[in-house]
Amino acid sequence: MDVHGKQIGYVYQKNTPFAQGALHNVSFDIQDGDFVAIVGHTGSGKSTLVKMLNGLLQPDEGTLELGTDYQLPVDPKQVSLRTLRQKVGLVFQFPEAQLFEETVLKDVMFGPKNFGLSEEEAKKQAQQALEKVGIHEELYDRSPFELSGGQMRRVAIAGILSLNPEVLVLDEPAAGLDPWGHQEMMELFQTLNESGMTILLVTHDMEDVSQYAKKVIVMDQGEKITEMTPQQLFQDQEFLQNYHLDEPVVTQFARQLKEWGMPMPQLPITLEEFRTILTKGGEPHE
Amino acid sequence: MNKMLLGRYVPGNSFMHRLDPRVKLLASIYFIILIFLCNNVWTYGVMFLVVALGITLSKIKWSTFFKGLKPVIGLILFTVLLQLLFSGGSEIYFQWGMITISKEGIQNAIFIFLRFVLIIFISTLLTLSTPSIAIADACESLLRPLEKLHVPVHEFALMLSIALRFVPTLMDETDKIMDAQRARGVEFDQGSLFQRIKAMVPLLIPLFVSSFNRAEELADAMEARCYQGGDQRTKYRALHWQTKDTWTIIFFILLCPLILWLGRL
Repeated sequence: MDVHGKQIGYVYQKNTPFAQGALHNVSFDIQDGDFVAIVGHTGSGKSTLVKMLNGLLQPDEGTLELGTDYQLPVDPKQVSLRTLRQKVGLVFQFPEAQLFEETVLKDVMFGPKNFGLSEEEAKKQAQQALEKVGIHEELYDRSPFELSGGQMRRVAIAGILSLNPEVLVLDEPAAGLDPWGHQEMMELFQTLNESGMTILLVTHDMEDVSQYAKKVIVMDQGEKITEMTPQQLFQDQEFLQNYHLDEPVVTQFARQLKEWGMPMPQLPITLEEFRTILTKGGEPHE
Repeated sequence: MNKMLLGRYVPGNSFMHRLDPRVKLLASIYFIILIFLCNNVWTYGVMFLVVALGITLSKIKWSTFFKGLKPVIGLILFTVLLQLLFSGGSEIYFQWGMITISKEGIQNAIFIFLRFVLIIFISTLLTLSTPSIAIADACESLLRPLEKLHVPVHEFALMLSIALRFVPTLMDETDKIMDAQRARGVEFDQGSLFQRIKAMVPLLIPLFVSSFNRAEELADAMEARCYQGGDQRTKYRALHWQTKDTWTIIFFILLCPLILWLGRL
């Protein structure tokens, strides 16, 4: 599903003394099958943007086109946002907070059942989703509150995957996980992306951006600053500093080598690229 | 959730904001009692003037106060309607079965409406101009004499301030979980009453779980800092009585005879 934002603006608590602008004139295009990272300092409007993608918030200004069926803002009383919520799966930060059912399986089935699937269909989709996130069958009948933090996170993500969304929006999905869990989680999203799912990843982790994203959107104070490939983004250190963004370790290392006089036409952003440069001593791309 | 105005402090530095929270708390309670002594146009007029003075001194916009009325306007109108339609009296204008519209009924309905508005305005004024922590401090300070009777005032105030402190946190949490469950297809504002009640389950269970977790974390954090209540504890935010506080108290004390006198007119 393609997503097109056109000059989106949003104000929190409009018409109250607490009114606060959150988004201003944000335009972007996301193609079907893309893997886009949204980065920016805390309070840059990332989370607000994310909530718009499945209609939890609606733009005050501008429009947001989602596929061919939806063009926000719409009046929720006239147009049901049900299909949209099913097509755009939204995984919030610390999604384990949404768990509530008696068993793991029931919790994952909750979403599909809300969208009108029968008990058996919901069960099938839930099992598939749990398999994808690597939760074993013996845990299906356990209470989700007995699981470890990492397992709870997986179950919660399975709760969204079981909706079979076309677009998966993730807000810091790996925050607080151990390094192993982190990598497994990110690899899961990559696999999903390879099987055709559009992925939108909100993150502070530049290693994830450099390794997994095809495109980066940089936000600051409610505005979109730029949109480019991770390869382009990590070339400009001054720009990164201006917007409080880190560099991947490998880029940092390579930049240091470059400053010491090693010829480096383009800074590498992954180990893979760095290796190519070291062995060929030149362009990371042939 | 964010529409709830009662209890949302609006930062500022007006006369109202700087007044001692004990004075504001006492005056508000006193004022609400006085409202029930009002019985004619003059008394209500004076009470409205007092509220208007308070609002002006707080430098908070009037519209904010009217918005505070919104969530309860249904309840107010319902009560007013009951008064209007079902109270008998000497001078009856209209009668049909149980329904009676009398002169007293109309008068009572108007007065009840005014009472509600006054009570809501004064309590909104208190909560908008006073941080909730200051209100808890004021309670503790005012209840201090009860310690002589071995009432655990400090613990009570601590519980109160922790509860108040976590109201916004809990509201944020509610918002977050509601969003998360909406993304899983829950519709909180649609369907029959039964469906809506059922939709509360996926909201309330996570809220309880996180509240219990948070309570334990807080207890651990307090113990790790060797927290101990009691007499020897000093305060970070000490309350200071100022001349303007004394004047405000005098003003309110004088308000009572004035209302009683006007009430006889």
